[in-house]
Amino acid sequence: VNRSRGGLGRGNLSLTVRLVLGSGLALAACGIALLYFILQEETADQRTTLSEQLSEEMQFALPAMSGPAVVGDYSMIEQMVKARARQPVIAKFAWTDNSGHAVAALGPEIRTAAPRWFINRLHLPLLEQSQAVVVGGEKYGTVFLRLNPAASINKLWRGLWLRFGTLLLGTVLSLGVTLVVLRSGVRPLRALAASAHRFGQGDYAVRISLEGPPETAQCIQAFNSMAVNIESLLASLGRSEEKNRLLAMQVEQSSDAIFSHDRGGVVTSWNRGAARLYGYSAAEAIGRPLHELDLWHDRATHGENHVPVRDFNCCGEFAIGITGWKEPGRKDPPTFMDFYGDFRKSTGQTVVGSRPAIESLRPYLNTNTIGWGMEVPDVFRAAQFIKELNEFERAGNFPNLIIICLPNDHTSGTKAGKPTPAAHVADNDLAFGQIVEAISHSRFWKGTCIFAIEDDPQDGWDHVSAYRTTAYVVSPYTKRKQVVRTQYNQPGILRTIELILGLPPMSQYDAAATPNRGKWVSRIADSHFIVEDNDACILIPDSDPELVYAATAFGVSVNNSQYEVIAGFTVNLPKAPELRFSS
Amino acid sequence: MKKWIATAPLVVALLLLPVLGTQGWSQSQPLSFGVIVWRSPILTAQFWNPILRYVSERSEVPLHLKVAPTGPEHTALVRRGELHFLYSNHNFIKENEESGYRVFARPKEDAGTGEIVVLKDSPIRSLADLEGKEVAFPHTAAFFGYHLPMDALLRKGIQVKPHFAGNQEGAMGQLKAGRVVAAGVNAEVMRAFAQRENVAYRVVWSSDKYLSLALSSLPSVPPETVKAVREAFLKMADDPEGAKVLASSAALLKQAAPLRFIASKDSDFDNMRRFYRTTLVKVELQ
Repeated sequence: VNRSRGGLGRGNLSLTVRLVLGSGLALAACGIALLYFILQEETADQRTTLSEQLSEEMQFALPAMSGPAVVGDYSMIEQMVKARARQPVIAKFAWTDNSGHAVAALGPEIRTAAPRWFINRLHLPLLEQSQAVVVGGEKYGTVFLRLNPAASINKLWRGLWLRFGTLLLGTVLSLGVTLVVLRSGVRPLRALAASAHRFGQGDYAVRISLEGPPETAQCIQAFNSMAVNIESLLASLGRSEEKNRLLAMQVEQSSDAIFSHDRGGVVTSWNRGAARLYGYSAAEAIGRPLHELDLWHDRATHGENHVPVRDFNCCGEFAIGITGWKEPGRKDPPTFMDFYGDFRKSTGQTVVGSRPAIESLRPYLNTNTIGWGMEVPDVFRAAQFIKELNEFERAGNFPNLIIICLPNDHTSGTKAGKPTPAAHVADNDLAFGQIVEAISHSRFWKGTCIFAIEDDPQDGWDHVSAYRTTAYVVSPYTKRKQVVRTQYNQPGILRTIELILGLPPMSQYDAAATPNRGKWVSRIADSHFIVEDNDACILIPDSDPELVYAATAFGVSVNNSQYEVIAGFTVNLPKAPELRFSS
Repeated sequence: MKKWIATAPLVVALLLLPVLGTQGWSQSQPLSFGVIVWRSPILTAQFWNPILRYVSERSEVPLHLKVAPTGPEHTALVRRGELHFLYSNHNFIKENEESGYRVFARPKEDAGTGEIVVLKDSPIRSLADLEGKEVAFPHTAAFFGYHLPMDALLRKGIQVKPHFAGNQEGAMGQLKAGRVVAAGVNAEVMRAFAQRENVAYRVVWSSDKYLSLALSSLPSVPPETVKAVREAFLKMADDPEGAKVLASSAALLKQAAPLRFIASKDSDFDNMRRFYRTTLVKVELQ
């Protein structure tokens, strides 16, 4: 019961009161309507009865009066008139002879028991009739008869009260029975409500015995079943909460930096490891956007705000390569040596370019370089990038994200006329080293991090797995000579890039991926890389000796003490016995 | 010429007005016409009113039916001469002769008889069987129904318990209902009653024949009035309209034949006068 509303609003009435009131009102309405219609019908019957009585009385009076009227026996007429007038229904009975002499008698005085409004409501008229006494064609006076409706009114009034009393008795009995039945039916409901209240207060063990009508018993049964389920669920929830609490405690006490953020990048949790690693307390970090925290800079020494992604440059990735001779109509597509020779000698005989494989990439694609295509050396790609880097230097604007495709470590296998796999890999390593060198000497170096991963590394089992690969992270803040043994994957690299750039995850894979952070992050921010040629030669029979070049594998040697191998794994090239390289 | 003929009845009527005016009461006030109480007043009125209406129209003498409640009262009216015209035989009673009623017509019928009748399956076979029994009579003034039968019983020394029913059919009704073992009746009325009411009866005793009823008038009634009334009665049966009235009245009583009035005189009823002068029955007059 909602007692807060106050008053006697409908919301305060119990089911029993509502039902009793509703039933009572319905019965009363039906009873009144019934009484009304019965009264109407009986009134009409009484009118008809009175009319018939008048007619019958007249039919009786006329022959009865005829004899005395014919002989002029006034004493007899008077006796008859008085006798007839004694009937309760007659108000006046009279006979008037032809000369106007009247013999009349009034009927018994009957008082109407009904009130005036009831009498007025009935509209019962005073019925009267005059009729001549005619015998043998001669008139022997006139008989006058008036009926008294009082008896009919009293009969209707008594009938009304009788029916009203019966109806009232029936209503009381009906409501009484309803009340008794309801009380027996509501009692279990009240017990149900009390039990539900107790259940709501935490008494999950409360149960109700099945009683009452089937509908109520079904409710009780449903409640008991619900209580059992909820009790079980709560117990399970308690166990889960305990586990979560333990997990939260483990997370909190973990030495690793663990934090979470919502889809908008706002930090939602921050453990001690994160506080220790990034220098923000939980109170400082939680609720702030992730990009404001500048996790990849020491905020004490590098307090500059993170520059959000403003531009993106794609060099060959998701691009369709365009190669050929510059000279129109020249047959035989240019080979690796043709492209390499043209690159080294700048003859301008070949054409290298690309077009986007994805149309939306067109604004960001460098079309003067190429992605896939073993026939184009990676050093060409590196040179094209370095040219562009120089342009960025002059413009003072460097894209936030650059993707460079250096595909030649895929090698061409043992195809005739193609560089050996070692030469391809050496080409790839050299190109990568040239790019790193160029960036590390650029004005953008302090704000740049280079992630290098192998594409299609699956071929080649080592003693662990064919699915692992190498990844290289090069930046001013990357610890040198550091091998990170934490398992990362490609989505982890993506996640790391997203975190650096303040980008939201693209899918659940990168959202759930482990970013590259940890002990390899350094505060040393002043190191440069210098590339060295390797000694892998491109040995292609009948090739131009001038075109043979040697490249030093990436990161093998440095020009000063600053050189370090910062991350990665040893490259194990396939050593299949069937391969025969002359290198 | 035609105009004169058309206005002639009006002129004659205007000339006759003073003559009729000398009759005075015959025009302005109806003359009473008393009828012997043989039947109930209502039936009597139903029978006679159409006839009197016809006679009044034809004779131009307004007649008003005067029905006495009982026979003795009728007799009393006759004795006191309170009825201008009379269709009765009570005027022949010795005690009523002083009223001086003069016969001017009578129904064309055979002379009537008085009878003592019982129901057909009654064990009564003779007058002697009636000794000490209840016998119904119309009333103490009924000639055929009481005077003749009772005179016969008295002359034979048979004592019965008389029960007066008020009129002829009243006595017959009591016989039919079994309240009495026998009834003194007018034979003609009895036959009509039995036919109408489907009563099977047997005659135990029958009187000599007497003319039953006569149309008479008081001596004070002007002769012209009597004549006009007499003519209307006598011509009634021959007039289609009058015959229709008589037939209708006869049908009311289920009479075998409608009434037909013929001329008559006082001497036609001498035997009745003689009876009353010698009867052992005490005629009670009120």
